[in-house]
Amino acid sequence: MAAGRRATGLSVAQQERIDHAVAQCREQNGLDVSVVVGDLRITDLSRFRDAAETLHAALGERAHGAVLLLVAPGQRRVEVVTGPAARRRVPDRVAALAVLSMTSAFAGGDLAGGVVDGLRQLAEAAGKRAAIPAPPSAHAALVPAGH
Amino acid sequence: MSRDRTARDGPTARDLSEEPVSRAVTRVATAAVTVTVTVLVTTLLTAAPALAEDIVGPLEGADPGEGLGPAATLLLFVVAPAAAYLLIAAVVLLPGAVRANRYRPAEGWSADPVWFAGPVDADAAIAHADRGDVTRGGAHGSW
Repeated sequence: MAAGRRATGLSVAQQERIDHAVAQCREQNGLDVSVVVGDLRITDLSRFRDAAETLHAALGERAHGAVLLLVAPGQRRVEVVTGPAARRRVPDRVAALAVLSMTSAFAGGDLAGGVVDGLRQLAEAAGKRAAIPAPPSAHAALVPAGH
Repeated sequence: MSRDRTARDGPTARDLSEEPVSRAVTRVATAAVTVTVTVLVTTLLTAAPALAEDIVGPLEGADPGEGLGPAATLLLFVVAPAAAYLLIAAVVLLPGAVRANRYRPAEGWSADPVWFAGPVDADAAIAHADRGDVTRGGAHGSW
């Protein structure tokens, strides 16, 4: 990149905002959400959905009732994957609306804001449920490019 | 009641008929007094400083006091403007510098992926991911 000044990732403040939004979904809506921000190591973008579903399956036992939000800033793709149980609480129609508002935020350069807004929309659709405990890895964990 | 009004109207009407001359005289006299007083007061006030020199002492600038030393001169004409320049520059440039790290869709993304509320060992979890025979829902988009 000629400019030499590149986006280096999420700032600490942005990560905290996303962490907070994820925790709120669990505590106030009893909705197990998980967020990945980063590009997938795939060249064929038609396999993006496939790769996202693999990441969702990687949630293991949680996957059935979990929502995975995958944001690939470099590939400019966002994917919402819902497990069978989560899908009853977050219908595809709601996910599509959340995606719509997220893409407009991302296009404007607001990654964390888009994620937080999207999660809020998913959580509102899911309604209130008893809080679920924090996942084993509650805080942002660096992972090598997925899949 | 009506008689009262008539009684009051009577003199008023008579006054009005006699008024023109005396009222015109009064108006001219008032104007003359006003102009005279104004001119006198203005003249006296503007002339007063010249007359008052002996009373209030030397005029402004007659006793300039000590000049600025080199240090004070530098402070006043070099350091202070430079400080003001730097302060304004900082106020203008800092917000942009802070936001320089923001995401720009056209510039790509070089950071490693971050997984919020993901599995403890993401690598192992992905390697052993079992997608099973379930239909997953969701949505996707691009920008």
